[in-house]
Amino acid sequence: MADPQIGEMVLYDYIRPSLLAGQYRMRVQTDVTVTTTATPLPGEDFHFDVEGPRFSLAPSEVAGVFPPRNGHGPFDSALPHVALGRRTLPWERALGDAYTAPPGQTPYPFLALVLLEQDECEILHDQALTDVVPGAVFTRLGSPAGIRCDAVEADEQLLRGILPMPEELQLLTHVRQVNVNDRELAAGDSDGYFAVVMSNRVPRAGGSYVACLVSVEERTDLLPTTDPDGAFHGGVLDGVLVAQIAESSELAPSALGTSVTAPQADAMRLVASPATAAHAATAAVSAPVAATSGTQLQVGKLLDRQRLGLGAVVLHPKARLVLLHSWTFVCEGDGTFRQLMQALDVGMMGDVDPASKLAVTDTGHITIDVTDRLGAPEQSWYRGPLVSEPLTRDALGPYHSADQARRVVAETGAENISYASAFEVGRLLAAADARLAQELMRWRRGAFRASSRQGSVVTLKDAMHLTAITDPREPVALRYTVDVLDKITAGIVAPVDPFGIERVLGSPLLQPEVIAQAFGLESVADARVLLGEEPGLAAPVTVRAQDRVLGTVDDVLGDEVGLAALADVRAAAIDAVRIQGEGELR
Amino acid sequence: MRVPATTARLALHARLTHPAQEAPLQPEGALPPYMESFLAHLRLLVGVPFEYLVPDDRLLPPESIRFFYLDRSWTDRVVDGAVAVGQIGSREEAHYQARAAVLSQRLDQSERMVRPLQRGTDFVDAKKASDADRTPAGVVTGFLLRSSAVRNWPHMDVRAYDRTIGEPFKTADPEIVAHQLPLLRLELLAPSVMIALFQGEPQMVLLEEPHHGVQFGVRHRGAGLAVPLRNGKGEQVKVGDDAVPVTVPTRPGRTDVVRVKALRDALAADPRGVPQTGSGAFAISVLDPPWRQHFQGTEDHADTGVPLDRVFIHVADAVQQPLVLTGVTTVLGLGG
Repeated sequence: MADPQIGEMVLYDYIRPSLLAGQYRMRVQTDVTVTTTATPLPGEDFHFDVEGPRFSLAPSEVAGVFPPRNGHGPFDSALPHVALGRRTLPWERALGDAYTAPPGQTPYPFLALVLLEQDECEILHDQALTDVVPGAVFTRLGSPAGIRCDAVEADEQLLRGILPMPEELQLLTHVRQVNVNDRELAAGDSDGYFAVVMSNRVPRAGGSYVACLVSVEERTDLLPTTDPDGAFHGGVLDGVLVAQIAESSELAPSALGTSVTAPQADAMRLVASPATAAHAATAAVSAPVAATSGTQLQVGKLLDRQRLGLGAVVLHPKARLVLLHSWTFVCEGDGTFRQLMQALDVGMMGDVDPASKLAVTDTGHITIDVTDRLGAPEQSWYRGPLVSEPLTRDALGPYHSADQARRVVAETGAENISYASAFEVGRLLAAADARLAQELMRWRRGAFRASSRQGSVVTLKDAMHLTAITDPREPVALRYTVDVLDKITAGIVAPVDPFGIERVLGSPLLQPEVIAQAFGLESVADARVLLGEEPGLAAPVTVRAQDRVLGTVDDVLGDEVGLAALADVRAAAIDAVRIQGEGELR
Repeated sequence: MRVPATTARLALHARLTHPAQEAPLQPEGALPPYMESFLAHLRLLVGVPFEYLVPDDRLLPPESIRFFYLDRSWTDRVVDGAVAVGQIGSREEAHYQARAAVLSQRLDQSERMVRPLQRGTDFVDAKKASDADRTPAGVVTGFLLRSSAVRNWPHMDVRAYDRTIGEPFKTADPEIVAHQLPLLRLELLAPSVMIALFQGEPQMVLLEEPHHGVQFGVRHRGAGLAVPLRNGKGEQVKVGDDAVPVTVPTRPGRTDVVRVKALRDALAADPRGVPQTGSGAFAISVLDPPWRQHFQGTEDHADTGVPLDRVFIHVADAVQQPLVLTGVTTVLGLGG
């Protein structure tokens, strides 16, 4: 399905996870049949767990709640809901063995949102799981060891009256896909799907509530199974246990005559009542209980009546539920959004109720009391930046001081300090910000520096007759240097032999012909060899590291550079002889 | 508290990618980013104490909304005042005198980046977007809303349109979006006071109940509860102008606990409603779509030629008449 557009959302009945949370065993088997003989290969078992939130829920899993957390408002026409960022979460666990839906049918969620008034319940933190759920439920949950969780404790009868039936749970839980660009409910990394769990209880005006997201996994002992259809069969008194306030010994089953067991008695809340009345009541209670022999409705009715007169008390056993998430809100304040909006006093800025006796001119100015700089109290006109009609923009600016913006109204002679105060408030706000002051300085300094550069450049241009500089931001010094060098070197002819090599080579002692003639050599080639022309001046020069006195053979052998030079000389001499010899042989 | 306009990362990036690595080569006209952002915020009155905006609380009584034009001269003075910090001599004054016009033009553009900045957009990106918008500074309008609705319905949607649009309409429709005025600022000044600034002059302003309200709602009807019948798109099924109420059954003895299944059956009994196939359909039925409040229809007679009951003497026209002109020049001794 296409993603929803902005402002749209798509609702799904449920999104079933591929595997419910739990422990799984995977068995791999391969059936092989060899010529009609089955020879199965040995299989193997793997175990794995699918884990998910069970007894606690990370706050980050909760994407949004309504009514708002700690909110105050008229929520008395809203059904509270919680949005969960994990779309499959409500269906990741089975509600109970009796409530498993076949594929294709709506599964039963294991989460319920229970709305309780503040004084109806108590939030308990860090409880052992065994203290929260009854033993039978603990066993059905698989007896997980060492689990501690939060819990909500409330009157069992109340919970039975409020908790939705399993079929209702199905209807109260759905998946919502919203446009992720939409602001609401969409965290940045969300895929746009949210599982939403609704409550079935409407807050009443004036109440303060705790909304509790509870796990009802295996809590079929608390969930009602029949829809109360209006016929009164028990109602609030159905199953209520009664007891007389007295010593703890009197809570024993025999004394009460009802099915209160010792642990249940412990769970009962005892409400103190005058001891004398209690003792007097004991006998009165015992007799009817015995007489009606277990018809609890009658017992309850009877005792409820007697409670008023005799101080007998209906005891309400408490029940606890695993609490995954909770938040509080107060349902107070009047009016819905619609009512508030339609009752608004609409007007332009400057419209005032005549009864308020505030004098506003038609331009929107009001008089305010000020003390002028001489210390005299006086009245001035003031108008804020929010005006009732479009104004033209003051073109006289910029102003450099507040006094420039002070005006006197001709008709009244009073001063109009609107713009002067605007100036001052701007100045004060800016002065309070150290960083702004620094940046202002930087802004100005940059301008001053650029200005002085420009001045220098113009002066330079005029003085030096520079032509190339057009942009004052260019590096002037570089341009200037290049320009100056150009001018200096202009007209100077480059020297022919800048390093004097030609002149040196031209000296008579380096002319092979002259040498050959002077020393009576056979050929010019001999003279070239003698002059060592071949590597010539182009050869790399080996410099001896330092002049040392080579006194011993070791010194000589250690002088590598010298030895290398000698080797070179020898090689050159051998080469010369070889050239000669080859010439002769030829 | 303002978010700094530039961060160490940005500053480092600017430093490293600067071609000359040398401050003097920086063009002189560039405003330091923080300063530009600060002044743009001031232009939209961010940080200006509330007493300056509403000098007397009788101007904004409880449960009221006041529309206004923004006085540009006033905000210009605020900026003048801010720049006056450290303006100690004629040199600084001359500097500002020379640059005020350019600065003002620049701020006309950069005031459009205030809202993106407030919403956490990177300064560089926000500035790029605001610089790309070359439309000259126009009228800025807005409203102040003082109501408990502001506190109780946080994040309500505020939109302004330059023409009146009849309900129902889709806010995402491109046709409609084209008429929407840009929002320059939308902020709470106090828990129950909201200010909004629009770029342009709206003909219609909408305040919409926040969408996370996409709540499940019931209506109090007499002593009991009811939900209006809805079709598959969440729209109310109407007979004439009236919605079709479906009474919400509650558990006996507990008038605040809804019999969900019975309600579903009651909803399914009416073929005009959404077919009750599961929890999704049920959710649609009990959804309470956001309320959308229109503010529109107040006729503005400015520049419409509607005759007023006051008589104006058109001085400029009169002066142009030859006879009067001669008279005036004679009186003023200009005739020569």
